[in-house]
Amino acid sequence: QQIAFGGLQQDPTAPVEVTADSLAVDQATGLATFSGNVLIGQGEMRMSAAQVVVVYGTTSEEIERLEASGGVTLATPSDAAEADSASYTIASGEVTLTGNVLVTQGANTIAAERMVIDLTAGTGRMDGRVKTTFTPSGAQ
Amino acid sequence: QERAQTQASGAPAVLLADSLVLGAGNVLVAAGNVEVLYDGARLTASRVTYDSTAGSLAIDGPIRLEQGERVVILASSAQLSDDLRNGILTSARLVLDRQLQLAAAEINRVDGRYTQLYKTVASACEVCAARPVPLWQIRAKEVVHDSVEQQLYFTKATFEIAGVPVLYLPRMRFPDPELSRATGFLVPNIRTSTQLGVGIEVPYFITLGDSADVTVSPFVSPNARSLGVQYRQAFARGDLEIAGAGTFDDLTDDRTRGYLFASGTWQTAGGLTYGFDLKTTSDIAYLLDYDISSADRLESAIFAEKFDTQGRALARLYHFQTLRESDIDIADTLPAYYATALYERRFSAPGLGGQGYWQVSGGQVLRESTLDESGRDVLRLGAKGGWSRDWLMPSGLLLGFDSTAALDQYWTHDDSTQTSPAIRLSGASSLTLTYPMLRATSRGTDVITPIAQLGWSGFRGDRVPQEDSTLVELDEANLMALSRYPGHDASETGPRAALGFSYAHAGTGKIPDYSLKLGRIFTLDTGDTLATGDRSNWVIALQASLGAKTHMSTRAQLDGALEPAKLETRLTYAGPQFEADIVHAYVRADPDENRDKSLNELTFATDYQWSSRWSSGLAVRYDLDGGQASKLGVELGYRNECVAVALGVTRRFTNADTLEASTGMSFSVALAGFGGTQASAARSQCLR
Amino acid sequence: CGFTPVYGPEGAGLALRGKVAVQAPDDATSYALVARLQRRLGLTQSPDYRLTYTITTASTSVGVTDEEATTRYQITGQARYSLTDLQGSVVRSGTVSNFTAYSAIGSDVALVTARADANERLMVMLADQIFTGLLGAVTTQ
Repeated sequence: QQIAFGGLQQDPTAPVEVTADSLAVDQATGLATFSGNVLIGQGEMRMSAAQVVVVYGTTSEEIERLEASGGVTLATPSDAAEADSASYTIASGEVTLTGNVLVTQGANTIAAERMVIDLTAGTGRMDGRVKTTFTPSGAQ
Repeated sequence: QERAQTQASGAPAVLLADSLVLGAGNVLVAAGNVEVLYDGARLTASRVTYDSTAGSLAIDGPIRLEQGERVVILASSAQLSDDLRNGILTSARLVLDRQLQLAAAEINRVDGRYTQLYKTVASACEVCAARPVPLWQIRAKEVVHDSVEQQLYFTKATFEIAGVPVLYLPRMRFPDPELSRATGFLVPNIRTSTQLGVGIEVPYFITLGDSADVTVSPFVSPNARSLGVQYRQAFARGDLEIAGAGTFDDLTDDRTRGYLFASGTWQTAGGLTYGFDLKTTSDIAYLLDYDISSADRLESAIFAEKFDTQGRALARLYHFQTLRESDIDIADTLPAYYATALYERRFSAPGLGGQGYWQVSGGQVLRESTLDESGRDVLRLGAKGGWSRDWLMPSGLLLGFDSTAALDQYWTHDDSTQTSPAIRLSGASSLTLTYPMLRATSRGTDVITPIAQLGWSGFRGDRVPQEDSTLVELDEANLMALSRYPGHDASETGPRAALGFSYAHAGTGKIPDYSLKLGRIFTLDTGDTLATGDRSNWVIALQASLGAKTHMSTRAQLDGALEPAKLETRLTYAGPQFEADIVHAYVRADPDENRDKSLNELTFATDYQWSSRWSSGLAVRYDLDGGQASKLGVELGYRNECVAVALGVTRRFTNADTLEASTGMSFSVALAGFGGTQASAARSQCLR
Repeated sequence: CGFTPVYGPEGAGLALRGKVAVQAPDDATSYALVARLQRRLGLTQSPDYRLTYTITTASTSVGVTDEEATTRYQITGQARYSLTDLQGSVVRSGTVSNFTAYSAIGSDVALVTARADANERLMVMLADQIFTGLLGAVTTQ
């Protein structure tokens, strides 16, 4: 089977729901910190992490950025990516995964230090001695 | 041949890169030190675009694709399947076994086994900016390399030497460098001699399974056509080799000539070695004319033998064929067959102390002629025993007692002067006193051994025919032996006294090892081969070696007047670049040894490696009495990373009517990079 | 002058006498070498040392007449030996070489016998040289 990377495409303007065991809001900085089995959903994409800090925009209604850490998993129906931490800037639709990044798709895996996913274009760029294993189909 | 489909193993492929972009449409672009590893193949490149739906890799160079470390393809760009087994590489070079390079505008990979090159140039020579044209190269419209069969198939190939086209072949097949054993033509060589003229031999080698092969070598020259065959077979515990040739030439009046050598030896698990070594030729000059062997006699044998600490058992049947011109008309009076058998048991005599042996043996000499005396046939059967014992004295004196006794019976035919059967009892004994002393100093160890011996030999019974003991030698090894005679038929008589002295120095470091041995027997009566009057010749042996490189051995027998009866010297020097072997032999004319003319010969063989490429060799056999060389050989060799050339000239100064003097020349060129010919390690650097 | 008898009280000869097990022979050449070594070293039932060897010999024609007849052969021999103690560590190893010769005029029966005798004489020489080498080793032990 091929490596379908197109699956990373995702509409960044879709609504974002966040569920977690607990939530702490810091009025002064305007930061909301979800911790304990945090699960973020947007369209078909799911991101789970041990702790997610939500950074609101200046108008305090819009979420500007999500900072996930403590082991992050990003899953779409066809792909999954894991990393130590991730930061999702909603406006640009760009997710940056850092530390032991591992993308798995069926039997194929790609490992790297860092990965930047452009959700609007559905592309991903990985750096830092990337290692990919795949099963060749042998076709010309 | 069925196409062996090389099955991909289960392991997945691995791609490594500094960065990787996952594009839409299942395209993945890896860049920066990209490496792809799959099923024994390894590819490195600067950029690889992997389209997983199409299963193809678009690769930008510089590309290096390795199939094992002996097949390497270098290219600037390529389009390959994701299992690296099929695809096209452009402006590429195929390098085989780091020796043979094939450059082509386009290289096509098929099933990970075949590599097709179009408009290609193949050469094993270094191509440098300073010397763009290699010593030799092959231009071909197409070349296919089969990595399973390890063969290279050329079509429309032109062989060029230094850029000049020399040979055009529509189709040509070469084994690739890694293959050391494949059916096909071997390197042809040119051989000339005054008798044969300029001849060429083109050997064709055929493998027969894993452990046997046959080489067929036709040889053609202006006045000779010959077909040589050599069959070889290896067994689990033995091997067999049969070599022969049939020849039509007009050197002699008989139309067909030839030779046959067959030898095989086998070992049983129990330690028995048996086999045969048969040799025959059509006429006495054949082996020399065709440079097969310079033997002056052919010895064939069928044998079985076993040796171990308890003893030995052997049985041999010899057949002799003389190749000496002077012997031809008396050939039927020379022994044609000689059968010997011997069974010996050694034992240590616990009660008595010392060591002993008993032995039964027999020998049958057969001559084809039945003339009285000259056609004599003799059968000997005998039993023999021996016992020896040493006594160590507290003072350091070693007293050795040796004794032997033998009973032999001879049956003789075709010799009226010899009583038959004849029976003889013979014996010998000796008391030997040695007082070895040793000194260890910083310069090494010295061992001095004075020896004194009293001995006696004698025999009772009939006079027996003399067959096996007519060639007698005396040296430091048998000076103190019970008998100087090599065989059973002769026995010394009477009392004997001998004195000997040996001094050996084993040096440490720079100081050479040397040793001197000296000795003489008094009251000895072995005819005057070894003695003048009743005293033996003096025996002197000197040895010296300096490090591992230089070694000299000299041995002489000086007669009563200290004139040399025999003087032989061997000198060897083996330096890193220069090697020399010098042998001098002088034997005074001696009727007892039926040597009517004294032998005084000097031979030396040297070879010299001038540089990493040029080497030369010189071999001369010089008759000092006659004052002229009897054989001269010169060799010149050039070897670089892609060619090995050998030129040899030999001059033989024989002058006998069937063997005239002859000059032979041999010339061979071997292209490195094909069929396992090992090019010289000295890869030439492209000197600026 | 510093010389001590080899078979004297603490001589090297005594240290070796009856203490060395020699590698078994498997052909005519090694049979002659072992016979001589066992005569010089004495037989042994309880060896302290083991002596192993490899022998190479080569024959060259000498005195080739103008009828291409060889009237004498020289046999060169070389023996690499190694004396090891029971733990297997090497006490002394070395290489000895020498040559003998035999004439080849007359009947082939005499030639074949002289050749075998020449081989045996060569082995007696090499065995004696090995024995002398071993004496040196045991002394410096």
